[in-house]
Amino acid sequence: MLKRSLFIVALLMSAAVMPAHADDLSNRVDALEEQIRQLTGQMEQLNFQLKQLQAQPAQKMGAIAPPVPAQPQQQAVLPLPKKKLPAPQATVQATQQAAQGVETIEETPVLPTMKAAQMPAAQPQQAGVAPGPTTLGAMANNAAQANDGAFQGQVLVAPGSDDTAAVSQDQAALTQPATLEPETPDDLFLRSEKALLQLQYGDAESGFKEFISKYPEHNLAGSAEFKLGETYYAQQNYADAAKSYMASYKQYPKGRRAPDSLLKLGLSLSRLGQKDQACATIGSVDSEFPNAVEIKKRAQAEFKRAGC
Amino acid sequence: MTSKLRIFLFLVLAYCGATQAFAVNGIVTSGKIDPLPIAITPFIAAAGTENDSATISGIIASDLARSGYFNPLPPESFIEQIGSFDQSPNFASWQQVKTQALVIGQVSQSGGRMTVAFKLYDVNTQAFLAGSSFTAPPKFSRRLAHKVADMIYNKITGFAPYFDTRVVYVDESGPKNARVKKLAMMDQDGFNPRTLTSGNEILLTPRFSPNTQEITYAAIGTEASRVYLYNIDTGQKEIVGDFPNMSFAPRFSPDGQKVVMSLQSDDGRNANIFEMDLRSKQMRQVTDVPAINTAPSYSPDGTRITFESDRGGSQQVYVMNADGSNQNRVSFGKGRYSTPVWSPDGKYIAFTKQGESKFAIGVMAPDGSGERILTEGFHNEGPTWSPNSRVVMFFRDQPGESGGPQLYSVDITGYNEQKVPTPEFSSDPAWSPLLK
Repeated sequence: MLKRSLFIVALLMSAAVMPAHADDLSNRVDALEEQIRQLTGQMEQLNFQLKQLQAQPAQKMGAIAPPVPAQPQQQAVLPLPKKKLPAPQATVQATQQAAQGVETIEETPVLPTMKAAQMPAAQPQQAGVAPGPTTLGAMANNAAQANDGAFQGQVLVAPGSDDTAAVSQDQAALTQPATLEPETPDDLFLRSEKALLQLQYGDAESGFKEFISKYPEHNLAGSAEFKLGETYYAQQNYADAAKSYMASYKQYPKGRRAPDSLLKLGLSLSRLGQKDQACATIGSVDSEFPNAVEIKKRAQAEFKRAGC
Repeated sequence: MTSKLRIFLFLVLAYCGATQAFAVNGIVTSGKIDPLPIAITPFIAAAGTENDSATISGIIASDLARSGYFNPLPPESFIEQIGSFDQSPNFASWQQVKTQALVIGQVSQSGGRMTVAFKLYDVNTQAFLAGSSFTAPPKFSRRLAHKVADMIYNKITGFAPYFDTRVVYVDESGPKNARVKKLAMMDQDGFNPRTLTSGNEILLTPRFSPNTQEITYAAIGTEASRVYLYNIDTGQKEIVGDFPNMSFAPRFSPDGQKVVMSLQSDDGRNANIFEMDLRSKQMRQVTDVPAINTAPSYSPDGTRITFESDRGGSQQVYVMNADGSNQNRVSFGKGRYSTPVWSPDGKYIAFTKQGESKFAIGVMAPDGSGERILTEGFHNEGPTWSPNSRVVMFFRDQPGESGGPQLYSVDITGYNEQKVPTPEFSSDPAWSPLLK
């Protein structure tokens, strides 16, 4: 109901401000536009029906029928078999790498014979521990022998089982190093950003520096330079801040952080007592980024504040 | 209808039948798929994790049950008690309780971090199917459980995971004639709900960025609607372009670098779709048709955009190339179509369909074929996709003074409809990508 009252209020407001003499013209334009819309709609419908008719001989349909509701293809997978679980239809799709700023969870494969004592440290799997086939009957025995922290990867094949392929595939998935990959660029950026937000400037500084040196071509590289500048700026280290803002602006002039970098460069120069350079820099935000409205507004305010 | 009213009708999808009582029908709540019986044994708890251990087993069972594809058996029915993570299951006893899959697990804590490990077995073939351990600070214990459930779900159904995700939505509190609308976020199962804004403005259409920590939304403050970017970590918000006219219905591009949205025309009659590059702040006009063109949503590869337009006299769904060329209407069923959303796998467009006093949520192929209604009733609106394109979440409003909108999810087969619990009334959900 709030939605309803919202646009009713808006309607009343708009009616109240509309001059009376404009009403006629406005109504006529409304009527014309409405007519155009009706004609457009009719044309779209006719085109659609034409397409349906053209498709008809091929589909051997008796009449134009509305689209037939279809079950999704994936349903073919289900219902699940009674006797045996289906082999995985696909490996995990490349998950959208959402850097959600929340804790990234570490994953370590667990092998069938892995002992509880081996779990908590979540050790990466040793390379070269190639699992060899064994039979289920040997499992308890093997488990009993498993010791001192080493993985004992086994491909389990039930005697007479035709599941070898599926099980091997699973095992292959388990031994994939996907989960053991080093930190992704996004992770590194987020970790550094988090450190900055938590005022852990040392961690933030080293993180952003690492990012810039490792991934200079990454689309967050400009942001990393800018954030490195922010890390210095927050510590009132305006000389280093200015260098970072300058690098962010010069190296990534079309980066998302370019307008902010230019403004903050000006502010850093101002704090360093370089008034003329500061004023020139802050003043250039306007001409460099005519569309960056918010930054421009701030630049204008800072321009005044710096006594330019 | 005046032109300005038309804009507002699009801004907030109007429901004509709001005052008349209408029996909810057409809702299918039972699945025709036989859920797979699965035994999730109580996870073995290392010292100090006893409470977490019970909770974690419960979360895994709850996730799998809610998906509609699993039937977690009651632990009381288990014959064998698993006392150690190293224990080899007695498969005969598990076959006796008629389970097809068996999960054993363990929770431990070391150095301020919690580790949840599990092993998944096929009871009939006695095959070890999967195993993994996940480690994070203990406050993320729910996420650890979601990760385990995701891996089990993926191994058995073959579908990509989706339990370890979040949902952003509009939290609605207060009486119906004075609702306070806040930006809110929660886990996909309704846990950890929290509001992010104060409620000074009327908040609409929050949408996650695909790869950053940002949300874009429209809000109506003291004046017209404006599009904002909101940073979840810092709580900072910034306006996306300061336009003289209303801006609304924003959504991120798949690479997160652009926001596509609607801008009202100078004369207030129409609205067209524009795209803003967040780096250069450059605006690009995508549609230029004297109609209300809104609710844009990119295809996952970024090459096409689906949107709604009333250029043909009523709201319908269109698809165009991302540069604005080749604009084609794709919805031709009976009724009005709005709020199109492209599925993350690119195969479907979900939409709201209005006709005969009913609001339905449906899906169709991007060329408009194969339309399928997932749910319909008094008022359903605003679909959003789980990242694996298997589940659609939406909101359903109830008539009457005490009624309000609430979130629901439904499988794309149209089965397994579930209410998503929220502390207050809630609307306009948007699902996050999978967390890492």
